[in-house]
Amino acid sequence: MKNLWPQSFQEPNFEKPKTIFEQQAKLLPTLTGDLVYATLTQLDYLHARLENLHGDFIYRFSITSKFLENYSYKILSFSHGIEMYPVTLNIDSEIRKELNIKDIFVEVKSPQELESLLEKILTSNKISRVIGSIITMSK
Amino acid sequence: MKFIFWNIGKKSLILELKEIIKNKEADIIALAEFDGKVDDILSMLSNDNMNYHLIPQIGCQRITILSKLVPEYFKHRAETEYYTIKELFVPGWYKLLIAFIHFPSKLFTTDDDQMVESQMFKQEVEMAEKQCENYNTIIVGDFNMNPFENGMVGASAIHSIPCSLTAKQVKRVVKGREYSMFYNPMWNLFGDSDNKPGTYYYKKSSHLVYFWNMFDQVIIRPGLIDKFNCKSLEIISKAGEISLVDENHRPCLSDHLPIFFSLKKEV
Repeated sequence: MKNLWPQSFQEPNFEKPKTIFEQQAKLLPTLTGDLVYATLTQLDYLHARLENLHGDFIYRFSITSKFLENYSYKILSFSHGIEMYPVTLNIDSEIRKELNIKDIFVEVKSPQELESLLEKILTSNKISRVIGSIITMSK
Repeated sequence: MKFIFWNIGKKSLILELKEIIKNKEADIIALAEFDGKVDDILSMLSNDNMNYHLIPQIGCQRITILSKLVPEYFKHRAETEYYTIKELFVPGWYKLLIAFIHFPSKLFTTDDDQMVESQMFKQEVEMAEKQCENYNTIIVGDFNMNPFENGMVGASAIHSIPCSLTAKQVKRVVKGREYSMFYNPMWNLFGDSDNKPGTYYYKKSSHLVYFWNMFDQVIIRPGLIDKFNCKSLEIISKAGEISLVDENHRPCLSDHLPIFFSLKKEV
Protein backbone atom coordinates (compact mmCIF):
# COMPACT_ATOMS: atom_id res chain seq x y z
CA MET A 1 0.00 0.00 0.00
CA LYS A 2 1.30 3.39 -0.93
CA ASN A 3 1.74 5.93 1.90
CA LEU A 4 -0.25 9.00 0.97
CA TRP A 5 0.86 10.92 4.08
CA PRO A 6 3.79 13.36 3.96
CA GLN A 7 7.24 12.13 5.02
CA SER A 8 7.60 14.80 7.66
CA PHE A 9 5.32 17.13 9.60
CA GLN A 10 5.71 20.82 10.26
CA GLU A 11 5.54 21.43 13.97
CA PRO A 12 5.07 25.13 14.65
CA ASN A 13 8.03 26.82 16.29
CA PHE A 14 6.07 29.83 17.51
CA GLU A 15 4.63 30.49 20.94
CA LYS A 16 1.17 28.97 21.39
CA PRO A 17 -1.58 31.43 22.47
CA LYS A 18 -2.24 29.27 25.51
CA THR A 19 1.44 29.43 26.53
CA ILE A 20 1.52 33.22 26.26
CA PHE A 21 -1.43 33.51 28.64
CA GLU A 22 -0.09 30.84 31.01
CA GLN A 23 3.25 32.63 31.25
CA GLN A 24 1.56 35.87 32.22
CA ALA A 25 -0.71 34.06 34.67
CA LYS A 26 2.36 32.66 36.44
CA LEU A 27 3.72 36.16 37.07
CA LEU A 28 0.71 37.64 38.84
CA PRO A 29 0.93 35.87 42.25
CA THR A 30 4.55 37.01 42.60
CA LEU A 31 3.58 40.59 41.80
CA THR A 32 0.72 40.63 44.31
CA GLY A 33 2.25 38.85 47.27
CA ASP A 34 0.35 35.68 46.42
CA LEU A 35 -3.03 37.38 46.83
CA VAL A 36 -4.22 37.53 43.22
CA TYR A 37 -4.08 34.88 40.54
CA ALA A 38 -4.90 34.73 36.85
CA THR A 39 -6.49 31.60 35.45
CA LEU A 40 -6.87 30.26 31.97
CA THR A 41 -9.81 27.93 31.50
CA GLN A 42 -10.59 25.98 28.36
CA LEU A 43 -14.29 26.09 27.57
CA ASP A 44 -14.88 23.02 25.40
CA TYR A 45 -18.62 23.06 25.69
CA LEU A 46 -18.98 26.67 24.65
CA HIS A 47 -17.64 26.49 21.12
CA ALA A 48 -20.79 25.02 19.69
CA ARG A 49 -22.86 27.85 21.10
CA LEU A 50 -20.69 30.90 20.74
CA GLU A 51 -21.07 31.14 17.03
CA ASN A 52 -19.28 34.44 16.83
CA LEU A 53 -16.13 33.04 18.40
CA HIS A 54 -15.08 30.79 15.53
CA GLY A 55 -12.50 28.21 16.44
CA ASP A 56 -12.10 24.78 17.92
CA PHE A 57 -10.36 25.95 21.07
CA ILE A 58 -11.98 28.51 23.34
CA TYR A 59 -10.46 29.86 26.54
CA ARG A 60 -11.35 32.34 29.22
CA PHE A 61 -8.73 34.42 31.01
CA SER A 62 -9.81 35.62 34.45
CA ILE A 63 -8.46 37.15 37.61
CA THR A 64 -9.12 35.23 40.80
CA SER A 65 -8.21 35.57 44.44
CA LYS A 66 -6.68 33.31 47.02
CA PHE A 67 -8.94 34.66 49.76
CA LEU A 68 -12.18 35.37 47.89
CA GLU A 69 -13.26 31.81 47.28
CA ASN A 70 -14.95 31.23 43.90
CA TYR A 71 -14.51 34.89 42.90
CA SER A 72 -13.40 35.61 39.36
CA TYR A 73 -13.31 38.61 37.06
CA LYS A 74 -13.28 37.78 33.37
CA ILE A 75 -10.75 39.83 31.41
CA LEU A 76 -11.34 38.22 28.04
CA SER A 77 -12.15 35.08 26.14
CA PHE A 78 -10.39 33.95 23.01
CA SER A 79 -10.60 31.26 20.40
CA HIS A 80 -8.47 29.79 17.67
CA GLY A 81 -8.43 26.94 15.23
CA ILE A 82 -6.04 23.99 15.14
CA GLU A 83 -3.34 26.12 13.47
CA MET A 84 -3.45 28.46 16.50
CA TYR A 85 -3.29 31.77 14.63
CA PRO A 86 -5.20 33.94 14.01
CA VAL A 87 -6.63 34.28 17.51
CA THR A 88 -9.98 36.00 18.04
CA LEU A 89 -10.40 37.82 21.35
CA ASN A 90 -13.51 39.13 23.08
CA ILE A 91 -12.13 41.68 25.57
CA ASP A 92 -13.87 43.33 28.53
CA SER A 93 -15.58 46.36 27.04
CA GLU A 94 -14.28 48.85 29.60
CA ILE A 95 -10.76 47.81 28.64
CA ARG A 96 -11.73 48.04 24.97
CA LYS A 97 -12.98 51.55 25.56
CA GLU A 98 -9.79 52.48 27.38
CA LEU A 99 -7.66 51.13 24.54
CA ASN A 100 -9.90 52.73 21.94
CA ILE A 101 -10.81 49.38 20.36
CA LYS A 102 -14.15 49.70 18.61
CA ASP A 103 -14.86 46.10 17.50
CA ILE A 104 -16.25 43.54 19.94
CA PHE A 105 -14.06 40.82 18.47
CA VAL A 106 -10.38 41.54 17.84
CA GLU A 107 -8.24 39.33 15.64
CA VAL A 108 -4.47 38.95 16.04
CA LYS A 109 -2.44 37.11 13.45
CA SER A 110 0.81 36.30 15.24
CA PRO A 111 2.33 35.70 18.69
CA GLN A 112 3.96 39.13 18.49
CA GLU A 113 0.63 40.81 17.86
CA LEU A 114 -0.97 38.81 20.67
CA GLU A 115 1.78 39.74 23.15
CA SER A 116 1.57 43.37 22.18
CA LEU A 117 -2.21 43.46 22.66
CA LEU A 118 -2.03 41.49 25.90
CA GLU A 119 0.52 43.93 27.30
CA LYS A 120 -1.86 46.81 26.62
CA ILE A 121 -4.72 44.91 28.26
CA LEU A 122 -2.78 43.90 31.37
CA THR A 123 -1.39 47.39 31.92
CA SER A 124 -4.81 49.04 31.54
CA ASN A 125 -6.25 51.11 34.38
CA LYS A 126 -9.21 48.73 34.63
CA ILE A 127 -6.98 45.74 35.40
CA SER A 128 -4.99 47.80 37.86
CA ARG A 129 -8.21 48.81 39.67
CA VAL A 130 -9.58 45.25 39.81
CA ILE A 131 -6.32 43.81 41.14
CA GLY A 132 -6.03 46.67 43.62
CA SER A 133 -9.55 46.02 44.93
CA ILE A 134 -8.88 42.30 45.31
CA ILE A 135 -5.66 43.00 47.22
CA THR A 136 -7.51 45.38 49.56
CA MET A 137 -10.34 42.93 50.16
CA SER A 138 -7.96 40.03 50.69
CA LYS A 139 -6.02 41.74 53.49
CA MET B 1 -36.63 39.10 51.66
CA LYS B 2 -37.37 42.23 49.66
CA PHE B 3 -35.52 43.44 46.60
CA ILE B 4 -35.43 46.62 44.54
CA PHE B 5 -33.66 47.12 41.26
CA TRP B 6 -33.42 50.54 39.64
CA ASN B 7 -31.45 51.87 36.70
CA ILE B 8 -31.21 55.35 38.08
CA GLY B 9 -29.92 56.84 34.81
CA LYS B 10 -27.02 58.78 36.38
CA LYS B 11 -29.55 61.16 37.90
CA SER B 12 -29.34 62.61 41.35
CA LEU B 13 -32.39 60.90 42.85
CA ILE B 14 -31.22 60.23 46.37
CA LEU B 15 -34.38 61.50 48.03
CA GLU B 16 -36.58 59.42 45.71
CA LEU B 17 -34.38 56.39 46.31
CA LYS B 18 -34.59 56.82 50.06
CA GLU B 19 -38.38 57.07 49.90
CA ILE B 20 -38.66 53.88 47.85
CA ILE B 21 -36.32 51.96 50.14
CA LYS B 22 -38.22 53.21 53.17
CA ASN B 23 -41.68 52.43 51.78
CA LYS B 24 -40.71 49.01 50.57
CA GLU B 25 -38.50 48.16 53.55
CA ALA B 26 -36.12 46.64 51.05
CA ASP B 27 -33.40 44.28 52.19
CA ILE B 28 -31.34 44.45 49.02
CA ILE B 29 -31.19 47.35 46.57
CA ALA B 30 -29.29 47.06 43.30
CA LEU B 31 -28.68 50.19 41.28
CA ALA B 32 -27.43 50.57 37.74
CA GLU B 33 -25.96 53.83 36.48
CA PHE B 34 -25.65 55.18 39.99
CA ASP B 35 -23.31 58.15 39.84
CA GLY B 36 -24.06 59.65 43.23
CA LYS B 37 -22.21 59.34 46.49
CA VAL B 38 -23.11 56.14 48.32
CA ASP B 39 -22.33 57.81 51.65
CA ASP B 40 -25.05 60.39 51.00
CA ILE B 41 -27.79 57.81 50.59
CA LEU B 42 -26.47 55.68 53.47
CA SER B 43 -26.41 58.63 55.84
CA MET B 44 -29.85 59.80 54.69
CA LEU B 45 -31.20 56.32 55.45
CA SER B 46 -29.34 56.23 58.72
CA ASN B 47 -30.96 59.53 59.75
CA ASP B 48 -34.29 57.72 59.40
CA ASN B 49 -32.98 54.87 61.55
CA MET B 50 -32.44 52.58 58.60
CA ASN B 51 -28.99 51.07 58.56
CA TYR B 52 -27.80 49.96 55.18
CA HIS B 53 -24.40 48.85 53.94
CA LEU B 54 -22.58 49.14 50.65
CA ILE B 55 -21.63 45.72 49.35
CA PRO B 56 -18.00 46.09 48.19
CA GLN B 57 -17.46 46.46 44.46
CA ILE B 58 -14.47 44.78 42.86
CA GLY B 59 -14.62 44.70 39.07
CA CYS B 60 -18.24 45.40 38.19
CA GLN B 61 -18.67 49.14 38.55
CA ARG B 62 -21.95 49.24 36.60
CA ILE B 63 -23.90 47.91 39.58
CA THR B 64 -24.06 49.28 43.12
CA ILE B 65 -25.55 47.07 45.80
CA LEU B 66 -26.87 48.34 49.11
CA SER B 67 -28.25 46.07 51.78
CA LYS B 68 -29.72 45.94 55.24
CA LEU B 69 -27.82 42.70 55.55
CA VAL B 70 -24.20 42.85 56.62
CA PRO B 71 -21.66 42.53 53.79
CA GLU B 72 -20.28 39.36 55.38
CA TYR B 73 -23.42 37.51 54.22
CA PHE B 74 -22.50 38.23 50.59
CA LYS B 75 -19.84 36.03 49.00
CA HIS B 76 -18.35 37.38 45.80
CA ARG B 77 -18.58 35.04 42.85
CA ALA B 78 -17.89 35.43 39.12
CA GLU B 79 -18.27 38.85 37.56
CA THR B 80 -17.55 40.87 34.49
CA GLU B 81 -18.21 44.51 33.82
CA TYR B 82 -21.84 43.63 32.95
CA TYR B 83 -22.82 41.48 35.89
CA THR B 84 -21.79 40.45 39.32
CA ILE B 85 -22.81 37.20 40.97
CA LYS B 86 -23.14 37.06 44.75
CA GLU B 87 -23.93 34.10 46.94
CA LEU B 88 -26.05 35.03 49.89
CA PHE B 89 -25.91 33.20 53.20
CA VAL B 90 -28.40 34.69 55.63
CA PRO B 91 -28.96 32.82 58.90
CA GLY B 92 -32.39 31.20 58.92
CA TRP B 93 -32.77 31.52 55.14
CA TYR B 94 -32.10 29.16 52.29
CA LYS B 95 -28.92 30.14 50.47
CA LEU B 96 -29.31 32.18 47.32
CA LEU B 97 -27.24 32.88 44.25
CA ILE B 98 -28.03 36.32 42.85
CA ALA B 99 -26.76 37.68 39.57
CA PHE B 100 -27.15 41.43 39.28
CA ILE B 101 -26.85 42.54 35.68
CA HIS B 102 -26.71 45.59 33.51
CA PHE B 103 -26.32 44.44 29.95
CA PRO B 104 -24.96 46.72 27.21
CA SER B 105 -27.40 49.26 25.83
CA LYS B 106 -29.28 48.50 22.64
CA LEU B 107 -27.86 51.71 21.27
CA PHE B 108 -24.39 50.19 21.14
CA THR B 109 -25.08 46.53 20.37
CA THR B 110 -26.82 44.52 17.70
CA ASP B 111 -29.40 41.81 18.40
CA ASP B 112 -26.75 39.24 17.46
CA ASP B 113 -24.33 40.67 20.01
CA GLN B 114 -27.02 40.56 22.67
CA MET B 115 -27.68 36.93 21.81
CA VAL B 116 -23.99 36.05 22.20
CA GLU B 117 -23.75 38.01 25.47
CA SER B 118 -26.82 36.17 26.76
CA GLN B 119 -25.33 32.81 25.84
CA MET B 120 -22.05 33.61 27.54
CA PHE B 121 -23.81 34.98 30.59
CA LYS B 122 -25.97 31.87 30.93
CA GLN B 123 -22.82 29.73 30.85
CA GLU B 124 -21.28 31.86 33.59
CA VAL B 125 -24.38 31.48 35.74
CA GLU B 126 -24.40 27.72 35.24
CA MET B 127 -20.71 27.55 36.14
CA ALA B 128 -21.32 29.56 39.31
CA GLU B 129 -24.26 27.31 40.22
CA LYS B 130 -22.13 24.22 39.76
CA GLN B 131 -19.17 25.70 41.63
CA CYS B 132 -21.34 26.79 44.56
CA GLU B 133 -23.67 23.78 44.38
CA ASN B 134 -26.48 26.32 44.68
CA TYR B 135 -29.35 26.38 42.21
CA ASN B 136 -31.53 28.92 44.05
CA THR B 137 -30.64 31.48 41.42
CA ILE B 138 -32.14 34.90 40.86
CA ILE B 139 -31.11 37.15 38.00
CA VAL B 140 -32.20 40.74 38.36
CA GLY B 141 -31.31 43.90 36.53
CA ASP B 142 -31.44 45.85 33.31
CA PHE B 143 -31.24 43.20 30.60
CA ASN B 144 -31.63 45.81 27.85
CA MET B 145 -33.85 43.21 26.18
CA ASN B 146 -37.58 42.61 26.40
CA PRO B 147 -38.79 39.31 27.90
CA PHE B 148 -39.82 38.10 24.44
CA GLU B 149 -36.50 38.72 22.68
CA ASN B 150 -34.26 35.91 21.45
CA GLY B 151 -31.57 36.51 24.05
CA MET B 152 -34.13 36.13 26.83
CA VAL B 153 -36.14 33.18 25.49
CA GLY B 154 -33.69 31.23 23.31
CA ALA B 155 -32.80 27.82 24.73
CA SER B 156 -29.05 28.36 24.36
CA ALA B 157 -29.39 31.89 25.72
CA ILE B 158 -31.05 32.82 29.02
CA HIS B 159 -34.04 30.58 28.32
CA SER B 160 -36.53 32.35 30.57
CA ILE B 161 -40.09 31.13 30.15
CA PRO B 162 -43.31 33.07 30.85
CA CYS B 163 -45.14 30.12 32.43
CA SER B 164 -44.16 28.80 35.86
CA LEU B 165 -45.63 25.34 35.19
CA THR B 166 -43.57 24.99 32.02
CA ALA B 167 -40.45 26.32 33.75
CA LYS B 168 -40.93 23.71 36.48
CA GLN B 169 -39.87 21.13 33.89
CA VAL B 170 -36.44 22.56 34.84
CA LYS B 171 -34.83 21.78 31.50
CA ARG B 172 -35.60 20.69 27.97
CA VAL B 173 -33.74 19.03 25.11
CA VAL B 174 -33.32 20.71 21.74
CA LYS B 175 -31.61 18.76 18.97
CA GLY B 176 -29.93 16.44 21.47
CA ARG B 177 -28.69 19.17 23.80
CA GLU B 178 -30.12 19.88 27.24
CA TYR B 179 -30.91 23.44 28.28
CA SER B 180 -31.84 24.61 31.77
CA MET B 181 -34.71 27.05 32.24
CA PHE B 182 -35.62 30.15 34.18
CA TYR B 183 -39.09 31.43 34.99
CA ASN B 184 -39.75 35.01 33.96
CA PRO B 185 -42.61 36.50 36.02
CA MET B 186 -42.28 39.89 34.28
CA TRP B 187 -44.67 38.71 31.57
CA ASN B 188 -47.43 39.18 34.14
CA LEU B 189 -46.78 42.92 34.13
CA PHE B 190 -47.34 43.55 30.42
CA GLY B 191 -50.26 45.76 29.44
CA ASP B 192 -51.49 49.13 30.59
CA SER B 193 -54.37 48.22 32.91
CA ASP B 194 -52.40 49.53 35.89
CA ASN B 195 -50.95 52.47 33.91
CA LYS B 196 -47.51 50.85 34.06
CA PRO B 197 -46.99 49.29 30.62
CA GLY B 198 -43.26 48.76 31.11
CA THR B 199 -40.12 50.01 32.79
CA TYR B 200 -38.64 51.99 29.90
CA TYR B 201 -40.24 54.16 27.24
CA TYR B 202 -38.60 54.76 23.89
CA LYS B 203 -39.94 55.95 20.57
CA LYS B 204 -38.35 56.46 17.21
CA SER B 205 -39.63 56.97 13.69
CA SER B 206 -39.28 53.42 12.40
CA HIS B 207 -41.92 50.83 11.54
CA LEU B 208 -41.37 48.50 14.46
CA VAL B 209 -41.49 50.31 17.78
CA TYR B 210 -42.86 48.94 21.06
CA PHE B 211 -42.75 52.33 22.81
CA TRP B 212 -42.91 50.58 26.16
CA ASN B 213 -40.22 48.07 27.03
CA MET B 214 -39.70 45.73 29.95
CA PHE B 215 -35.90 45.90 30.10
CA ASP B 216 -35.74 45.75 33.90
CA GLN B 217 -36.58 42.24 34.98
CA VAL B 218 -36.21 39.55 37.56
CA ILE B 219 -36.04 35.90 36.55
CA ILE B 220 -35.69 32.89 38.82
CA ARG B 221 -34.76 29.24 38.69
CA PRO B 222 -37.68 26.79 38.88
CA GLY B 223 -36.63 25.80 42.42
CA LEU B 224 -37.56 29.29 43.63
CA ILE B 225 -40.96 29.54 41.94
CA ASP B 226 -42.89 28.51 45.06
CA LYS B 227 -40.79 30.84 47.20
CA PHE B 228 -41.28 33.82 44.88
CA ASN B 229 -44.03 36.13 46.04
CA CYS B 230 -45.69 36.74 42.66
CA LYS B 231 -48.12 39.31 44.04
CA SER B 232 -45.25 41.42 45.34
CA LEU B 233 -43.77 41.93 41.88
CA GLU B 234 -44.37 45.46 40.68
CA ILE B 235 -43.08 48.34 38.66
CA ILE B 236 -42.71 51.26 41.03
CA SER B 237 -44.05 54.60 39.84
CA LYS B 238 -44.05 56.57 43.06
CA ALA B 239 -41.41 57.41 45.63
CA GLY B 240 -43.46 58.45 48.62
CA GLU B 241 -45.31 61.53 47.39
CA ILE B 242 -42.98 61.97 44.42
CA SER B 243 -44.16 60.62 41.10
CA LEU B 244 -41.54 58.91 38.94
CA VAL B 245 -43.78 59.29 35.87
CA ASP B 246 -45.38 62.18 33.98
CA GLU B 247 -49.04 62.65 33.09
CA ASN B 248 -48.64 60.07 30.27
CA HIS B 249 -47.30 57.56 32.80
CA ARG B 250 -43.86 57.78 31.20
CA PRO B 251 -40.70 57.82 33.34
CA CYS B 252 -39.75 61.43 33.99
CA LEU B 253 -36.91 61.31 36.51
CA SER B 254 -34.74 58.38 35.53
CA ASP B 255 -35.54 56.94 32.08
CA HIS B 256 -36.18 53.59 33.78
CA LEU B 257 -38.69 52.72 36.48
CA PRO B 258 -37.64 50.60 39.46
CA ILE B 259 -38.94 47.09 40.07
CA PHE B 260 -39.71 45.43 43.38
CA PHE B 261 -40.20 41.80 44.41
CA SER B 262 -39.95 39.64 47.48
CA LEU B 263 -39.19 36.07 48.44
CA LYS B 264 -40.97 34.02 51.06
CA LYS B 265 -38.94 32.47 53.81
CA GLU B 266 -41.05 29.35 53.94
CA VAL B 267 -43.27 27.83 51.29
